[in-house]
Order: sequence, then C-alpha cells, then structure tokens
Amino acid sequence: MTLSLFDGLTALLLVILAWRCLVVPDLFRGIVLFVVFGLLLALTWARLDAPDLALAEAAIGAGILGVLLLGTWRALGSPRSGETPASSLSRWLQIASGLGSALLAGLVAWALHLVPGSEGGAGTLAVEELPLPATGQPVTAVLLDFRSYDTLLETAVLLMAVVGSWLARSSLLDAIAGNDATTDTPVVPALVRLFAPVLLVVGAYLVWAGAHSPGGAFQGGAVLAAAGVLMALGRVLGTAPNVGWLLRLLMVLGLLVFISAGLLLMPTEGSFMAYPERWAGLIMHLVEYALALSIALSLLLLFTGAPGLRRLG
Amino acid sequence: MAGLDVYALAAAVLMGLGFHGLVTQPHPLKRLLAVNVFGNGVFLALIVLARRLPDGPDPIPHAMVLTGIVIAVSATAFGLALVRRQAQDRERGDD
Amino acid sequence: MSLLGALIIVCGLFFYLAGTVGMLRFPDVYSRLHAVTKADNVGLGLLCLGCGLLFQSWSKAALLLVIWLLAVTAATVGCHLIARNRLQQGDDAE
Repeated sequence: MTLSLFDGLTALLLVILAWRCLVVPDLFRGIVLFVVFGLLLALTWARLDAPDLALAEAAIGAGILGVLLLGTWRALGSPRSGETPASSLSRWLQIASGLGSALLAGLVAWALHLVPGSEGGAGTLAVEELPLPATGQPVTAVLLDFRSYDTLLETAVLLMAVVGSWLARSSLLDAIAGNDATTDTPVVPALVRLFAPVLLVVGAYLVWAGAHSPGGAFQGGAVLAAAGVLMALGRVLGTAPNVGWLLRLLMVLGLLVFISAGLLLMPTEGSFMAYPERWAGLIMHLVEYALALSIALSLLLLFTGAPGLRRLG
Repeated sequence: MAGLDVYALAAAVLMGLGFHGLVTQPHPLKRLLAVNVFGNGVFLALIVLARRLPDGPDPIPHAMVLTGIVIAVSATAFGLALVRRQAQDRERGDD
Repeated sequence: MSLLGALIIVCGLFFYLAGTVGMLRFPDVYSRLHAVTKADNVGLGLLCLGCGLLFQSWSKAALLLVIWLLAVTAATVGCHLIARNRLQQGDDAE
C-alpha cells in the first residue's frame, strides 16, 4: 500500500513536471523543470527494476542534456529574451490539438491496459538462449549478444550528431564563456581539480562494472564526458578550430574496434559479430572500453560545439 | 500490479502532453523539450510492459530503451546546434 | 540501532522540509540560497548518517560519507556561483 502511494505520487509528479515544463512561459524555468523531470524519471527507472536506465538517465538524460539545453539557452541571448511568445495557432486549432492529444493519451492508456503479462517474453527466451553468459548482467549481455546492431548503430548515430553539430558551426562553449564573468572565480578551477579525478575514476568504474552489475559503456562514457564538460567550464580544456588526428582516432575508436572485431572473426565464425565462446568475454570488454572512450569524446564535443579540443592550463 | 499501472497511465499522459506541446509551442527549444517528453513517455510504456513478465523484468526492452535514450540525446543535441545556428544567422541578418 | 537510524532519517527529512519552505518563502536570492544550501546539506548529512546506521556496514557508511562530502562541495560552489552572478548582474534583474 505504501509502495503504491509512492508510485502514485511519482507518476503524478512526472506528469505535472512535464506539463509545467512545456507550458511555463519562461524558457529558463522550462529547462530547469525538464532537468528535474529527468531526475525524477531516473528515480522511476530505479523503482521499475531498471537500474541501468536509472544510471543512463541521470548521467545522459538529465546531466549532459541539461548542460546542453542550458548552454543553448545562454547562447541564444540575454535572459530577458527568454520569454517565449504565445502560440501562433488560433484558439480552435489549439483546442483541436488538445483534444487530439487527449485522444492519443486515452488510446495509449487503453492499449497498455489491454496488453497481458505474457508467459515467455522475448527477453526470457533471449536470456535462456545466451550460449555462455560472458557477462553476468542481463541488459549488457542482451545488448552485446542479441542487439549488437543497436549498439553499433547508436554509436554511429552519436557520431553523426557530432558531425552535424560541426556543420552547423555554432560553438556552444565559446558562446557561454565569452560573456561570462562568473567563471573567473578561483573556486571553479579548484572544484575542477577536486572533481575531475573523481569523475574519471567513477566513469572508468562504471564501464568495468557493466560486466556484472548495472553500468556499461554508455553510462561510464557519460560520466567521463561530464568530467570533460567540467574541465571545459573550468578553462582546463578549450575549443580548437581543427580536429587533430588523435582526436579523430579516439572518436571512431569504438566503431573501429566493434566493426573490426565483428569482421575479422567472420571467416572462422561464419557470421558478422559472432565471437568464439572462449574469447567472447575479452572481446566484449575491449569493445566496451573503446566504445566508452568514443562516446565520452562525442558527448563532450557535442557540448563544446567546436571541432577540436586543446589544453589550456 | 494495480500500483504499477499508474506508470502506464503516466506514460500515456506524457505522450499526449508531448504531442500537444510539439504542435502548439512556437519556440524551437520548447518543441525539442516536447519531443523529449513524448520520447520519455514511450520509454516509460516499454519499461512498464517489461515488468509484466512473471519472472523478473524483460531485459530486451531495457536494452532498447538504453539505446533510445542515447539516440534521443544525440538527436536533441543536433537540434540544439541547429537552433543556435538559426539564432546566429538571424542576428547577422539584423545587423 | 535501526530505530536510531530511522529517527535520524526523519530528522534529516525535517531539515529538507525546512530548506524547501525557506526556498519557496524567502524574499530574495541570497536568503533562498542560504536556506537551501545550509538546511539541505544538514539534511543530506543526517540522511547519510541514518542510512549508514541502517546498513550496519562500515564500507557502505564510508561511501555515504564520500557522497555527502562531494554533494556539500558541489552545493557550496553552486551557491557561490549563483550568488556571484546575482551580485554582478545587480538586484534589479528580477
């Protein structure tokens, strides 16, 4: 009973936060509410037995995305222009949209209510079929054994997003740092010196821990990227106009290792991304570490918005 | 079971809110937020369904949502870069 | 031991409540910051202490202590930056 009260409150808060974040006229408030919504969602994932997602949501969804949103808000101009104009749609169209959305929500709720709890879901079969659980953790194992293409292609999507941001030529970090006197205080570099090593250790730990407990390349990579964001804000890292070859190599390292591991073993194993049982664990670890590095760099470059990175201090 | 269905309801409402926001909000940043709210509603629905199995949560929807979170952030980051570029160009046009 | 832990957690929650009320009710940025950072740091500390007692394990207690220290440091710097930004922008930017 107490738990269902907790669930009811969480679900209600989720809905209220989403609603407020969308309708509040002040853009800054909307973004802050969205970040809070992300954190509450992380709590929800933890409650719904999905600790992997909780970590990913807190690190990527609320953390990195929050930084990106706030940075963009800052880059868009003075805080005064943060008031968003009222909708340009006519009242009737708005009402029609509201009714349509309510209908959509009702249909989805009805459909979700009708779906029964089936006996053997795909996941149960998948876990049974796992030949040798190289990793003792179901989500990581499923990702690497059955959904390799997902992981491979999502890393590619992340890379494409970085390339797209480069093409847009809108450096976020320079826009923030250019007119910001608040980071001139000695407190921020001190914080960076204190937190960056901790974050690097936690990030590496999360990648390593992904093999047997919640964690993995994406969660670890996001924490590593957070360390980079902190260093960029503390003026330890700066933007550069060009991409060095080392940076290029590190950015594609994950894809490179992943694809070559899949391709090189094709002659012996017969199909793409089939690993011999003896080596599966080792290969997966290698792929995870390479992926984490590339993901961290990609997320960091999405934040700085400039092609290159250089050390400042 | 009854206690968990509130999340299914919340997922449906989030999708509705996200869609309404996407249609009615004029500011591009707000639209990006709306798309993210919609996406999070879909993720929530998947995770709620994953819990309906008798023996523990189904790892496949979890893996799919993990992928989805990363894709959503990538797409949003690209969208934000476009929004910034649009604002830059507008400023240059005003000068 | 578990009763003591629960009692400490309840105390911590009271500090959280006080901090939140302060943030909502105080008139300007500085006093709001004051309420949030001070009360919530104490609240989090008590929460960690209570959880450490409930777990009855030194390693978990040590982890909780690290979490508390990191959170306090981050809160301090965040508070400093917000106050500084406010001071430079002037109070008329309301």
